Amino acid sequence: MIVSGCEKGLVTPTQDHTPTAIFEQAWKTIDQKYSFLEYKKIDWDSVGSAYREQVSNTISDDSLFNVLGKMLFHLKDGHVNLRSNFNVSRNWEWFLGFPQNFDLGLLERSYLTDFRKTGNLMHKRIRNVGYVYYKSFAESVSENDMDYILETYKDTEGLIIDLRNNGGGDPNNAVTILNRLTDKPTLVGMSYEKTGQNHNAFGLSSEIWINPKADSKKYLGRVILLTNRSCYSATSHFVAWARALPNVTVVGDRTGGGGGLPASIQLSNGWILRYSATIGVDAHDFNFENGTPPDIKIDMNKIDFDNGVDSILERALILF
Amino acid sequence: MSLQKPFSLARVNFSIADFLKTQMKNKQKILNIHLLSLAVTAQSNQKWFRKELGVAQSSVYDNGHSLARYKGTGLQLQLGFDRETSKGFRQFDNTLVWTPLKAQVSDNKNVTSATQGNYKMSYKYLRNVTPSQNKIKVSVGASLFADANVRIYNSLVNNIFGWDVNLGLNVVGQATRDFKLGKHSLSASYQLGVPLVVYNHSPNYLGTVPVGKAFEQKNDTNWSSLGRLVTGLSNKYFYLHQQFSVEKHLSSGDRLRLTYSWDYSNNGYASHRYQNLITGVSIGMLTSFSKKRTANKTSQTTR
Repeated sequence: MIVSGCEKGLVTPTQDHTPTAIFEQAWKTIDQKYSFLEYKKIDWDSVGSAYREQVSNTISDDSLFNVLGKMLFHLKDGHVNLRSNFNVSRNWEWFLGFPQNFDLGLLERSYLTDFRKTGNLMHKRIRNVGYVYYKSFAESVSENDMDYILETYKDTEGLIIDLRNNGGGDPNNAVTILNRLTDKPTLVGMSYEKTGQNHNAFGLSSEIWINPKADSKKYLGRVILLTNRSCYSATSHFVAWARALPNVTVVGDRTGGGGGLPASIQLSNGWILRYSATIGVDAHDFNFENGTPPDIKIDMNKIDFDNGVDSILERALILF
Repeated sequence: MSLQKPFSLARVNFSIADFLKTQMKNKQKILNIHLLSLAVTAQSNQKWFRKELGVAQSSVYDNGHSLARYKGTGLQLQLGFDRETSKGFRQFDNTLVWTPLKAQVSDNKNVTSATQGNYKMSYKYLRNVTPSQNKIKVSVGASLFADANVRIYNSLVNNIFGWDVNLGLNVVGQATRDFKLGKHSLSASYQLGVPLVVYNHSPNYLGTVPVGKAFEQKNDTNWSSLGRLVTGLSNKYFYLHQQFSVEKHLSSGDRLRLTYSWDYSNNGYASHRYQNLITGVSIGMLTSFSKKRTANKTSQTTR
């Protein structure tokens, strides 16, 4: 039998599991596949040189992990993580360096007593305005949920969708909601996928459209989105796309960002490196990797907070 | 003369009897030859439905997903039609392999899992190139094939699917030898296939995020895939198929079969490379469906 049984010679992954080899695998993955090196003006060669010096084949897994974690921190990207069986590296500066601007306990005590819960959406009529709190895009929203909520609040002066602290999840849920806030097909954003090893090698844009069904219930009145810095990933996508709709206003703080879709690769020692693989822009070609600014910027006031008042929600309510 | 008459009569009588005997023998010979030729035709124009079940081991390296090798043992199912004539072979083959995989990494705590599904379909046409009296019959020909692989990496985010589809034309060679083992009639064959030309469709450099599907966008032409036509045995695409089988001939015309198969593909574009080695051992039955026709022909001739 010709060349039978030569499995290791024919299926040839990187056999080198030394710390220096793992470092190079991680550095090279970001160099070739990470989508924001050009946009963020990061000199990845210099970053690599600085941390390469700290790696030798005698350092422990824990030390190697720490060096790689510090190197990846320079990307300032919540979608970049290194995952091992003992730790997950992360950069959470996108929300830790800013006011939280949200307290669920305050909301529940002051505004949401006897709220309704439809699917994963908490909602209540507040001063003739429909208020909907969506905790996570990882929790699905069904067409039936939307039908019930839009029927319940069809006669209100407006609709508030509170997205604060929503860290993202499945962007398809964003589409489900946005389909109900307009009656016209609307281009809401574009996505660019990395197609080559160069930092600026991207394919043609992929357009993202909202295509509302003619026979579905819709809310065409004024809609206000409440945001803070903990709105990330799919939530940032939702806010960036919603800004293409004329009846939508964003109130609160800038979103946290996370405009690239994450992908992952496993290093040869089994650690998994997640990275942003695309660039997302809104309908006006604005790159929202570092967040989408609100139409009305407002932080929560400490005196209001102590008095059980949500400053951001109150600011939204007076707009109707 | 008178002496000659009886002799001559006797000779004539002898000659007539001898002639009739010879004629009978010749008829018998002709009949025997005819029957033999029918039997040969029946033997060398056989059709079988083939079903085989076995185990397969897959070894996979796909650097779009993991820089570690994945390996595992799974199940293999083969269904097909075989036809053998005095001129050669035709074979229609469907193979389905399902394999759960584990990452081959140095630290057991970092072992992650994946699953691979492989489907192969091929139609082979082979002509004998050696005289029929040769102990080893060699045949050569070609096969049209379609080959699809899907890999699911459970531990990754978004880019959990790896896949490739290949359509091509293979050059195939086969060597077969019939032999006896005690009372049993057996045949052993070895088959080798390499591609002449292949259309390969697989993820591009990134090859991962199904952006189009995730966002319900109108224009999903930028979906991360790449189709290309490549010649076989190049650095961008290499495929080799080997198969060794032993068949036991049963009196009913059916055959029992033991097969060892070996399929290797090495597929690379830019820095994205995918290597897949699937070896399998299967046991199965070739059920003849040309028996009835042979029996009828024989009885008609006998009458």
